[in-house]
Formats: sequence, C-alpha cells, structure tokens
Amino acid sequence: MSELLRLTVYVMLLSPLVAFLVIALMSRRVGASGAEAVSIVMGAMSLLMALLLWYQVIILATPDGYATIYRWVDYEPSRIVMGIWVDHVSACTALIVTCIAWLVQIYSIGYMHEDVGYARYCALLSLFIGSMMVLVMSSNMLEMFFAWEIMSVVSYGLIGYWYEKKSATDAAFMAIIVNRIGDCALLMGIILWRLWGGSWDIADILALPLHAPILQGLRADIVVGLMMVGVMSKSAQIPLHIWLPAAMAGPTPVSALLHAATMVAAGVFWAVRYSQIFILSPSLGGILMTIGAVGSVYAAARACVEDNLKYIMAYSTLSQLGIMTVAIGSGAYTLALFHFYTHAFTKALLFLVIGRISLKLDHQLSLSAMGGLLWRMPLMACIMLCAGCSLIGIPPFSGFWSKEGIIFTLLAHKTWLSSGCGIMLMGSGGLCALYMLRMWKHIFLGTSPGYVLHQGTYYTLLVPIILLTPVSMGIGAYISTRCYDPLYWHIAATKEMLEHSIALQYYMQMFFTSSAYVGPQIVYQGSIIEQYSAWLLHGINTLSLHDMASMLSLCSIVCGGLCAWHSQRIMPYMDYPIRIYRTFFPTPKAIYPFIASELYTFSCRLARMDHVIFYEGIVSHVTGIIASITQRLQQYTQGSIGVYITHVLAAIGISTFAVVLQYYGGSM
Amino acid sequence: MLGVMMVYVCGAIALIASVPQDNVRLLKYITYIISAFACYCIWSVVDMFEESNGYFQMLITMPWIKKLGIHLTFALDGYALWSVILTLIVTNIAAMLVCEWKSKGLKNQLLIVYILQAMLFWCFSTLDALVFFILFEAMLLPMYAYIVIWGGEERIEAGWVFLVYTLSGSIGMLVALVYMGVVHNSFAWQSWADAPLSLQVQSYYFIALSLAMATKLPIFPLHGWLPKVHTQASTSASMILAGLFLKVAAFGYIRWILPIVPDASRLYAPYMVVLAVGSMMGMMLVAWAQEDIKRVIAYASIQHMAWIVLAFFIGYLGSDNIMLYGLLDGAIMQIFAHGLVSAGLFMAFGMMYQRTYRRDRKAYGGFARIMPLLSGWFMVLALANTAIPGSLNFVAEWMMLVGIFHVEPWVGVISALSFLLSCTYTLGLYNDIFYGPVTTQHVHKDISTTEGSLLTMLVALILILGFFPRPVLESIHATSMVMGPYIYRSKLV
Repeated sequence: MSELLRLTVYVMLLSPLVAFLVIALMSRRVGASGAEAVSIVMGAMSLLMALLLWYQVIILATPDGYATIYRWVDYEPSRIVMGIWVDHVSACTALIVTCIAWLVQIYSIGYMHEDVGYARYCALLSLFIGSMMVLVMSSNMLEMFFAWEIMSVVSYGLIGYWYEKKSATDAAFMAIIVNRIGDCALLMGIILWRLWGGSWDIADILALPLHAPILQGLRADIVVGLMMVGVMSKSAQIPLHIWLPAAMAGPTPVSALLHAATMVAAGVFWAVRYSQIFILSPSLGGILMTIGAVGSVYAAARACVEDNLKYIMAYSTLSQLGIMTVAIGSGAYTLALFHFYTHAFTKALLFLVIGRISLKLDHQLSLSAMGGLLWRMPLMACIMLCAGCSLIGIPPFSGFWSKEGIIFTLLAHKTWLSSGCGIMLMGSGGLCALYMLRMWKHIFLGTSPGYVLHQGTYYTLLVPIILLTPVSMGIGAYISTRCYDPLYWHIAATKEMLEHSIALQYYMQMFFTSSAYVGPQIVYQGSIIEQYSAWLLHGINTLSLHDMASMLSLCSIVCGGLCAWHSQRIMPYMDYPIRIYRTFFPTPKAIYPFIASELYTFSCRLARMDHVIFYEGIVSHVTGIIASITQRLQQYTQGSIGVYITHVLAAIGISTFAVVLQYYGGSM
Repeated sequence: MLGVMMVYVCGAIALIASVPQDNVRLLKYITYIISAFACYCIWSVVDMFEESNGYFQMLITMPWIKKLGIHLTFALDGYALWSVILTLIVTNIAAMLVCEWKSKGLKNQLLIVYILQAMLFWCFSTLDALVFFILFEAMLLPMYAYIVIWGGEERIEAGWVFLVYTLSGSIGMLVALVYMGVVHNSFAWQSWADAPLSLQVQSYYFIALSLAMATKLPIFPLHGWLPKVHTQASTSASMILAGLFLKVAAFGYIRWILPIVPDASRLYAPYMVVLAVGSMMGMMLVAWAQEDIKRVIAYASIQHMAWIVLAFFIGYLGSDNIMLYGLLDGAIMQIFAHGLVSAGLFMAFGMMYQRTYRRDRKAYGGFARIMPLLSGWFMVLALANTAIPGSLNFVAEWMMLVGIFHVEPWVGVISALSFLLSCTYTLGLYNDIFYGPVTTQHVHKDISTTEGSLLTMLVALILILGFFPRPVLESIHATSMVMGPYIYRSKLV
C-alpha cells in the first residue's frame, strides 16, 4: 500500500477518535461550542480523507492493500495484528459513512444546540462515527469486533442521551442487551472459526477458494449460525429487532445516523465482508432469507398502522433491512451492499426532514396532530416525496435500482424459496408505498388541526437536507450505470461473489428442490448488477422473467399507493398481516420481558438461597463451631486439675490406640 | 531492583510510623512521596525485568532457619512481577484515597495499608513455602483490624467471620506444607517442583491447599464470607480485599499447587471446572438480584475469580500445549485486570458512599446529573467489568475463552454467556445509579480533583493496556513457556 494511501486512511480513522478524546478530556475547557467545532472540523477532515481514498481506490484503481498498525497480541493462538484493509468495498463504504455522518453532525448544530449535555453528545457522536470507520477499514475479525462492541456501547449512551426519561434509559438498556446477545454469539463464532481452521485476516478470507474445504457440515452451520445471530442482532432482524423501534427514544439526528450509516449497517457490512464464510452454509442462507422476507413484510405492515413519525421510520428501516438480509441469504452480497448504500442516503434524508418538521411543530411527532403543511413547507414536502419514491423503489430514484436488483436476482434463482421471498419483497414494496404516501398525505395535505409553527430558519438544518437530496436521489442510477466500467463500480471480488451466488443457487436447489438444475440465467462473465443494468438499458424484452418482476413490483406499488390515498378506509384491514404474523411468531415484546422477569425472579430466589445456605448455613456454622471450640479450650486456662488429668489420660489412651493400630493394623 | 523494593515497602511503614498522629498534612505529603516512589519502583522493575526470560529473576536469598531448610528467598517471574505491580498500584491508590478523605485514625489506617502492601509484596515474590504460608495467614490480621475498627455497623461480626472462616480454611495447609518440607528437607519452590511424588500424597496436598485457596478465592460453596465482609469493610479495605487478597489465592494456585502437584490437579480438574462454571453462572445471577451495591460488586468479583480457576483447570482436560499456555496467560492477565477493575469499582462507589452513606441501590438515581465526571469513569469501569473490547479484561477473557473453546467448546459456550449476563447486572446497576430522575437532595458536588485523578490512573491503565497489552503479555507469556511444562506434566514416582 502506498504511503499516501496509508496516511489518508490513518487520518480518516483518527480524526473522529481524536475529536472524541479532545472533547471527552477537555469538555470543561472547550465548552459546548468548542466541542461542536472540534467534532465538525474533524468530521470534515474525515470526509475529505474518505473522498481522497475513494479517488485513489476507485478512480485511480489502486490495487487492494493492507497495512499494519500495531500488533495487539503476539502469541498463538490469538495472534492479532491490528491493521487496515483497503479495497473497493471499504473505500466506498467509508465515503458513504463519513458523508452521512458529517451532514448529520452539521444538522445537529441546529437540532441539539440548546441541549444541556451538548458536549457529551458531540463526543459520543464522534466516537460512534470513529468506531464505524474502524469497523469498515479493519483488516481482521477481532479488530472489527472491537469496533462492533464499542459501537453498541456508544449507542447505549446515545439512545439513553436524555437519561432522565425512563423510556430513553430503558430503550438504551434494551438496545445494549439485545446487541450483547448477538455479540456473544459473534464472539463464539469468531473463536470457533479460527479454532476449526480459518484465519481471522480479511486478506486470507478473501483469498479462500470457492468451496473452501475448511468447514463442512455441522461445523460450518455452527460458525455461520453464530455469526448470523450477531448480524441479526446488529441489523435488527426478527426476533432480535425489538431494540430498533425502542431506540427512537434518542434524539432524531442519532436515529438518522443509527438507521442509515452506522449501527444497523454494521451487520450487513459484516455479512458482506465475510461472505466467503457465510457461503459455507447454504441451508442457513435459506433460513436467513425467510427471516428477512417475513420481517420485511411484517415491519412494513407495522409501519402502516403507526401514528408516530419516528416509529414509522423505524419500522420502515426494519423492512428495508429485511430486504438486505434476504439478499445476503440468497448470496447476492453485492446487491445487499448496494441496497445498504441507497437506503442509507434515503433514510438519513427522511430522518433529517422529519426532524425539521417536528422541530417546527415544537417536537410534535404524531401524525394525527399534523396536516396541511404543503404550502407552509413546500420544499420539505417535495424532498420528502422524492425520498419516499426512492424508498418505495420508483424509477429512476435510487432505491429502485437496488431493490429491483434484489427482487430480480431472487426470481432468477428459480427455487420456490427464493421466488417466494421475491414475491414477499414485492409485497413489502407495496406496503412501503402505502406507509410512505400515507405519511406524506397526513403531514402535508388535509386541513391543519391547529398548531403554531416555530418561526426562524435554522440554516444548519436546511443545508444538510439540501446537500443530501441530490446525492440521495442519484446514487442508485449512478452506481448502476457506472457498473459497466469495472474501474468505477467493481466491488472487491465481484467475480467470486457471482460464483458464490451460483454455488449458492446450486446448493439451494440441492436442499430445497433436490434437483441439480443450475439456472443458466446468471452464468455470465460479469456481475449480476451489470447484466441487470444491461437488460434495463438495452431493451426490456431480453428476458421475460424481468418483465414479470418489474410488472409485479409496479402493480404492488400502485396498489400500495392507491391504498394510501384511501388510507382511512384501508387502515382497519391493515391489522391482518400483523395478525397473521402474530399467529406464527409470538410477539417478542411479550417474550423478552417475560424471560427477563422469570430470570430475575429466579436470580432473586438464588440470591436468597445463596445467603441462607452459604452465609447463614456454612459460614455461620463454621465460625460458630470454632467459637465453641475456643470456649472449650478456655477451661484449660482456669486451673482445674481434674480437667487436665482427664484430658491427658484420654490423650494417652488415644495415642496408645493409634500406636497399636499402626503396628498391628497391617496384620489384622 | 527487588532489594530496592524491599527497602521501599519497609521504608513506607517506617515513614508512616514516624509521623505524629495528628499531623494530617504531613501524613498526606508522606503518602504522596511514598506513592511517587512506588511509581519509580514500578517503572524501574519493569525496565530491568528481562521480558524474554520466563524464569525467576532478581533473586534475593538469605538463610532464616537453617536446620529446617527455610530461606527467605524472593524472586520475580512474569507472574509475580505483575502481581507485585498490582499490589503497589492498588495499595498506594487506597492510601491516597484515605488521605483525601481525611477519615478518622488516618495514621493507623495508612499504617495498616502499608503493612498489607509489604505482606502482599513478600507473599507474591517469595519462593519459600513456609514464608508464603506465614504471610498468607498473617495478612489476615491487619485486614481484620481494618474491618473491625473502620468498618460499617455490623463490622464486629464481619471481622469475626473474615478472620475465623478464612483461617479455618487453611488448617490443612500448614500440615501439608510441613509434611512436604520434611519429605523434601527443604521449603524451596524449585526442590518441591522437581521432586517426584506419589499420587496419594499429591492428592492430600492438593485438597489441603485447595481448601485454603478456594476459601479465600472464593469458589462457589465456600464463598459465603465475601459479600458480608465487603459490605462492612470501608472503601479502601474493600479495594485491597477485592483487588489483592483474592488474587493472592489465585496466585497460590499457580505457584504452590499446579506446578507442585500436577497429577492431583489433573485428577481433580473436572470437579474444579464444574465448580468454577457453576460459580460463574450462579454468581452472575445472584449479583443481578442484589439490592446492596457493594454486594453486587462483591459477587462480580467472585464471578471473575471463577474465570481464573476455570482457566487453570480446564487446561488439564485438553492437549496441545501451545493453546494451553494461552489459558495461563489469560488467567494471569485476569488477575491483573480484575485487580484494577474491582478496586476501581469499589473506589468509584466509595466516592458516592462518602456523600450519601447509603448502600442500597434504591437510594440512588440521576447521579449522571449530579456527578457527571464520576458517571463517565464509572461507565468505563462497569464496561471493563463486562469485558468490553479495549479494556484489559477483554484481553484476559479473550485469551482464556480461546483456550477454553479449544479444550471444551461446551464450557466455552457457557462461559461466553458471561459476556451477556455480566452486562445485564453491571449496566442494570449503572442504569439504577446514574440514570433516571434525581432522587437525592443532599449531594451537590462532583468528585474532587484528587479523587478524579486517582480514578483516572486506574481507568487509563485499564484502557491503555487493553489496547496495547503486549508489554504485560510479553513477560507473562515467557513465564508461561517456563511454567507450562511444570504445570502440564506428570511427576509421579
């Protein structure tokens, strides 16, 4: 790796971390405005460096590179070298993360400035971004796990930022506990992967041949299953999703970051990074697909019935994460990453818009208290509509490119499971149209229920939104059209990933249909996305499957839109998908507190037993016996001759007996 | 260098003893001077220590009772080095904390702290079994005085329990040590480690010593005394108790049991593993249900000490020595890491207790608003207690976990659950203390500069060594390479 590249990455990683340290250690001296300045300058620095990195890696096509930072532990078996790994995936992701993060930081100036703990907020936000950057750039699994864990801890601090509110602290606690479940599994997966023959270094993992004979059968299932649980907890998949809606108790900019570029993205990123491992267990891929598809539809249905704006957004994120998970399960890692990019921009934009609207309405977040804002905030209405279209997947907005890619790939796999998932994702797209348009309609149309708009324009709120809008709208088309040129969009190891995808399809058919048929549709020289874009641009009739997919999606979206228009009449029926889901999956909201309270009751009983048996039982008795022995011994100090003589005689007797036993014991 | 440290530990006692009782300022300055000198000692002993040499270094020996073959032998290897450094750090921080609070009987408290420092120092560095035994027992007395004089409302009972219970645990130990000394005609570690022994003798020795160590460590059925004693002990007594006394017992295992009687250890390893795992899981759940905050931290230390026992004994169930050495490294790292963290937690809680005089968690709430600085440091310590990556505890638990998974994946799965459950009780406690609305009207001031800097020292050590553990690991690993063959061999006649 060239010196310049290494320096770039170092500065990019260090600037948010330095910002955190400076604010944390000198918050009293620098004050709130100083903290703000430090975090924003360092964020800008990080963004600049990410741009430079992107330029070098993508435009100048620097080969993948590795650099050592320092050795953490030197001895087998846990020889760990902290380093950085630069390739197309990390460069692109780093750019997207820093870009969104910096805009959110600017937005926070206007949104959070008057808050009491603003310096703490800046520090935590910087650490959050810094740990995400480390996660993106890290060169081995354990380093990634470091960043992964620190991120969950910081999210604890950020979700519980308003710590005097019980809802906020409970949500923070829940977030970190649910994440810990995943972290625990992930840690086991990491260790078992190494002990059963793998390597922790990304370079080694990427260099693994397809069908690597490292793990097979049950061992592969165990390792992949454990990592999967980790990914599911971070990326909030059923049944580990409950922390994400609850995390809405935090400030809105935090939600924007949490849902777009950092926290939930980390899970997807992990799966993409270690796709070579995930591919080893095709059967679990099928389970992951199912979980993702069901979660996607369920969350979308939930979003349709929610009244609180932030909750709608939370469930919408869950729904979109479900789509990414389906892509991961089906082996389309490139597309999962692509959807993560487009969704990150769109969702960040939506959160920023919502934050601005709610700030104007004095932190009002309830849909029923809004209405008729169209002519008061025309720009916001316009931007929100565009972002909504992107989220729904209406061409040519960016969400369309990634979502259609995923649905199409699923249909192209031609197994009943992947087709079923594809169809479910179409349904979720329709529901997405429903809740987005319903939300838009409720905010901007209709009559105003009587509120007072806050006067004054916060430019710091407006600027990030306006900067984000074109990027958010155009990134999908940009990436899709550029993908012809491998220099522009060539996710590392695309070829391998395609091969994986085929291999997976093969396995899936072995597992689910028992036929060895490998669909010829996607056996091409390029990536799936290349092929897909080619079909889009060079005539729709190339593949009838694609026609079908597009039409079905479009139908679903139109239906959703129509329903949104008549949402008042449709709403009562929206309970059905949720009810169906509930009949199959018991609600985790009831299960987790139940488990927790049962466990706590058990612990209380255990604690009482512990005290009764081990303190009052063992300890008191032992000390009591010794106390009574000492009292007995006291009689020797009182000079009564009779006691002395009896005891001396007894002692002589016992020792004689012992001597006799010693000498004759053997012969008896 | 060991000689200089000998002079230091004795000089510290002499200096404090020579100051008049009512001159608080002078006592404070002298404590600072002693602590500065402790820093110098730590610095230069690390500097002079040959990391790559895992065997005993800096040997000091002089005959004591020639006829019985008892020598005052002191030396450091990688294990002893970090235990000694831990001793110096924790006792000096406890002493400075006592000075900062100017509690009553300052001089006598300092005297006890520095006597304990000397005893612990000798106990960690001695190579003579009888000297080890004498110190192991004798250090109970100053601690007894510390608990009974400066403790809480039930201090008499707690002191009695502490003294009698732990003393009675080690009745058999004296017999076993004297027997071994007579058999080998020496009390030196090396001659004990080298001589072959029959399995029967090894078993008796193992049981006798294990009982003493397990009582003090403490492991599951014998742990009853610890929560009681911790709740009644004053803050600095708790720091020394959790940070150092428990570590002496763990150190006793690695120095005086495993290398001396490896076959008996192999024989009893499965039982010890079961006890340790049970102890770990049970104590976590029990810690979760505690109302008294000091009891939570006390149970947390039982849980973390169980890790050490687990790592010591699970190695006997496996093969492939290179992997097993990682277990030893991790266990010694855990001694060091948990010594810092538990002392830090007791200290941080003590700072709140000093202002509220309440130990039940219901009395707290919203302290993040009242004491923002402390809430930050407490957060780091609480997270280190849950072994967050980046803390020294993670290094230790990670190395142990890799070894455990190598030997027995199922035990690994259970112990990995401790990452989850320890998070539950620690952060649950944090939520209760620092979050929520402010409940108390009496506390207005955050921690003072001195208190803050004492905490900062601990926290900085935990974090810096967590990210860069190699300075610690290097010497520990070299010693594991030497000790490992002693521990995982067979020395039957």
